Amino acid sequence: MKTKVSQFLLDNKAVLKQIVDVLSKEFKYVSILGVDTVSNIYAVNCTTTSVADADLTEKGFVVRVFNSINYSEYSFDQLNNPDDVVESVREIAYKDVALLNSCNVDLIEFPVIEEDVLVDSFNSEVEIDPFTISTDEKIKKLVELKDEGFSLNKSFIDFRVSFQETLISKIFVSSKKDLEQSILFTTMSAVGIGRNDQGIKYDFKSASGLKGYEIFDEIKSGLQEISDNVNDLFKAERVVPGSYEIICDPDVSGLIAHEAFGHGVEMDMFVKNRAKGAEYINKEIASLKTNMRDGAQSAVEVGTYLFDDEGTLGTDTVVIDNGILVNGISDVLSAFKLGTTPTGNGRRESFERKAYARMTNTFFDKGEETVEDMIKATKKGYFLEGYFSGMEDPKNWGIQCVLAKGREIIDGQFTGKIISPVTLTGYVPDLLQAISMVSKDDVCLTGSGACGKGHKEWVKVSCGGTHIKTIGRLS
Amino acid sequence: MDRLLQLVKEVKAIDEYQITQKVITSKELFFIKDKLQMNRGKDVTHTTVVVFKNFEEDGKKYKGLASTQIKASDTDEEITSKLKKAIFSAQFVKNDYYELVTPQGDSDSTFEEKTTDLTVKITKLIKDLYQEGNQFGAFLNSTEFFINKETSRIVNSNGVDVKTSSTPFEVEIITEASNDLDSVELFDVLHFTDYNEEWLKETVKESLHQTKLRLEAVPMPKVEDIPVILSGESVVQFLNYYSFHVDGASKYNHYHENKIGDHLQGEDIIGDKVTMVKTPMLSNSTYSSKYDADGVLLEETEVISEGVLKAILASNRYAYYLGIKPTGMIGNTIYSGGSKSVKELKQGPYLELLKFSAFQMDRFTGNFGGEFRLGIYYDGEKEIPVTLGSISGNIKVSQKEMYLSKETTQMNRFIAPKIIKLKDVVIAGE
Repeated sequence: MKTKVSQFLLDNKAVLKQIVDVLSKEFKYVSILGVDTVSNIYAVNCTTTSVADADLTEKGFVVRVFNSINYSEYSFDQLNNPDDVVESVREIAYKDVALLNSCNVDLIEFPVIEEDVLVDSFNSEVEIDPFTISTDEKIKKLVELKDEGFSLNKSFIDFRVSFQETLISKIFVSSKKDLEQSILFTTMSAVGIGRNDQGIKYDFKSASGLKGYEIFDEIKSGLQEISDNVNDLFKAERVVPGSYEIICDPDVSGLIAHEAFGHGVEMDMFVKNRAKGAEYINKEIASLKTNMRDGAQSAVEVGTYLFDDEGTLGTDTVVIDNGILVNGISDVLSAFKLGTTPTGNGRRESFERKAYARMTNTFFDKGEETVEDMIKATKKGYFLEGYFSGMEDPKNWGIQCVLAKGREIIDGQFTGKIISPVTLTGYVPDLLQAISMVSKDDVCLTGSGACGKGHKEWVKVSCGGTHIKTIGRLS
Repeated sequence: MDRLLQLVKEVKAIDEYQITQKVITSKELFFIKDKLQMNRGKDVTHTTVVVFKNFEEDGKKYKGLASTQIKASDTDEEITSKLKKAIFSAQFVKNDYYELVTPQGDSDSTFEEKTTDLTVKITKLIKDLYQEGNQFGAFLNSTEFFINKETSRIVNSNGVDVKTSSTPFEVEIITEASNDLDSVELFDVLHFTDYNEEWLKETVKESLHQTKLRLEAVPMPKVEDIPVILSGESVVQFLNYYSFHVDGASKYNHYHENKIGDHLQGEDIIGDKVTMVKTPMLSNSTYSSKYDADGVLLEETEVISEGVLKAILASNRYAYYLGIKPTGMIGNTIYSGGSKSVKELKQGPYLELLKFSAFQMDRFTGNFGGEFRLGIYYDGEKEIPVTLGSISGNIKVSQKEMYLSKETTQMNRFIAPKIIKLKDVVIAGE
C-alpha cells in the first residue's frame, strides 16, 4: 500500500504559495513547511486499556523569512485568514527585531538562502495499512499478546503491550521548491514486569520501521525472551566497577553510535564550539575497523524521509570512514556558518519548534568477524545486551549508557553469570579506538524511541549496527 | 470551544466527555554567545477531547474511553468524524467504571497580564542575564529563551468548566570555560513564572563557577567507602522514587502495595526520614494550578510524614478504583529538610556530585546512578574538583541511613533539601 499526502495540505498548498508570494515582496527568502501527522497509540496492560492520539499528532505550519540580517520564524495552526499570518510574520521579523536592536541585541549575520528549482515527492509503502484495521481487532490482538506474555512467567505482576501507527504528511513551499512526502511507520513494545522477594525486575522488546500492521508478528516472537530476561535479571549481580572487554549487541552498538558519537557530529554544535568532533574532522577518531553513517537515505527506518524540515533533501552521510572522522551532519544555517553543504539533517520536534541539526538513521556499518569469534577472543569481559537510556556530552565526549544487562565471558566462554544494572561510561575516543572486532551480520536498526537534544526537542530516530568488540568502563 | 461543545453534544453515542484546551502564544530567542541567531513566535491551540462510553457486561459496569486531538484548522466535518471514530473505539476499551469530576470551587482563576508584550519581558531578562555572563574565566556559550502566554480551559459533561492562565519562562543556558589545554561546558535549564532578577543572576553566577571548576577537574581517582553527597536536581530525582511508591495508579497496577501507616523506608532507620507535602500553589513554579487536568480542585496534602505514608496520591479515576478520596494530581512537591546542616554533613571525606550527565533513578527497582560531569572530592584535607567518574546504588539500601540537609532550596516545582548524604554507594573512578 502506497501512502498519500494529506488532502488538507494539498488543498491548502495554493494558499501557502499565495502567502509566500506576498511575503516575498518584502523578504528575500520565504519558505513554509506544512505538517499534518496522524498518530494513534493503543496500549493494554493487566488493568487498563487505552486508545489515544499520540504526541506525534500535529497539524500546522511554520514560515521562515530572511529579515535582512538573519532569519525569523512564525509557527501557526490556522489558515482561515492568510492576511493574519502575513501580519504576524511582519511583527516578528520587523517589530520584534527592531525592539531587540533598540535594546542593543546584536544579530548574527547570515546570507540569503539560495535554492535551486526542485519539485519532488515521496510516498512510503507498507504491506498492510494499519489505519484500515479496526480498533476492535487491534485491541484484541494486543490483549492476546498481553495474555500470552503474562502467562509465561509466574513472577509477572504486569505485562504491557502497545502499538503506535503514524502517518506523517509534509509539504515544503518556497519560491523555488515544491516538495511533498507521506511516510507511514509503526512501532510496538512489550514490557514484562516481574516481582519476587528481591524486588521488581523488568525487560522489554520493541519493533519499529516503515511498516504497517504486519509489525505485530515481530513482537510476538520476542515474548519468551522477555520472560527469560526477567528471570536472568533476578539472578543478576552488581558488576565490580572497572574496565572490561565488552561485546555490544546491535542495540548497544546503536546506542554508542547515537549517544556517544552521533550527537557530537551535529554541526550546529560545531558552530557554537560545543562539539569536540570539530577538531577531529579528517583525523583518526576510531580504530580502522570502524565505519559509521547517518542519513535519511542511509537506511529504511523511522528516520527516513525525502526532505528535512528546512526543505533540504535527505542524504546518506559517511561519518566515520575506516576510523577517520570525515563528515558531520548539518542543518542549513549551520552549513552556512561552516561553509559546508547541508546534509538534510535540519529537523524539528514539530511545526511549533526550531530546526536543529539532528540525527536520522545512525549506525555502525558491518565488519568481517563473527560473533562466535568475538566471544572466543574475550579473555575476561561481558556481552552487553539492551539499553534503557543514554546521554550525550559532545563537548567533552563523556559517555553514559544505561544498559539492561551483561553476560560474563571468561576465556572465551559464557560463565552463566549476569550483571545488572550496567552503566557504560568513559571517554568516547578511547572506546572507539579500542574497537577491535565488528561482526559481519546484517546491520540491525531500532527506532522505537525518540531522541532529545539536551533535554528537549524530541524527534524520531533509529540507531543500530552489528556486534562490536571494544573495551569499556562498566559500573 | 462553543462550536466544539455543540459538535460533541451532537454525537449521540457519546455518553460523557472531557475537553481540555490550551491556547498558547510564545516568543522565542536563540543566542550564540551574546548574539541573536534567530527569533521565533507562535500562536497555536491544543485541544484534546476524551469521550466515554459506559456499558455493562455480566452485571459489571465498565467505562470505555478514547481521546482525540482536535486541531485549530479542523472543519466541523473533520471534528465530527474524529469524535465518531473515538467513541467507536471507546466501546472496545473495557476499563473499570468510574465517575467523572463534578464542579468544585470557583471555576475561573484566569488573570490578565499587565504587560502583554512578551518580547518586552524577554529583553529585560536577556539584559540581566548577560550582565552576569562572564565571570570566573567562564562565559555564556549559548542561550535559548522561551516565554509563553497560556490560557487553559477544562470542560466536562458533569458541568466542570475551569479556566486558568499562566506565563511560564524557560531559559536554557550553556556555560563554557577554556584554557590552553581544554574547553568544557555545563548545561542548565531554568523554569519559572515570576521573573526574579536577583535569583537569575545568582543562578548564572553559580553555573559559571561550576563550569570553571569543571575545567580544573581531574579524573575521579579510585576511592572506597566514602559517603556520596547528591546536590541540585539529583536530590529531587532521588527523592522522586517515593512519588511513584505513593501513587494511586502505581498501586492499582500492583507496582507497589503500600498502605496508609506503612513505613516507606522500612524499620530501624538510622538517618533522616522523608517528609513530603504536595501543594497546588507554589510561588514561581510553572506547575502551580488550583485544578488538575480532570478539574479536581486541589488542596495541600501531607503525603509522607517522617517516613510514614499518610495519603495515596490519586487522580479522580484511580481514586475511584481504589475507593479513596481523590487528591488530584498536585503539581508541586515540598520535601522537608533533615536533622543536620550542610556544614555538619560535610564533615570528613566525601564525594559531592554537582552535575551529572543524566542522573537516573529507576522507580521500579530503586537502582540509581550515572556518570558525573562535576564533583568535589574532599579527602579530609582539601577539596578537589573531579570529573569522568560514576556512581551506582540502590535506594532500598541507602534509605536506611541517609541524611537530608536542614537547608532547602527551590527548583521550579520542588522544594527539597540542598544536599543528601548517602552511604553504600559504589563510586567508579580511574
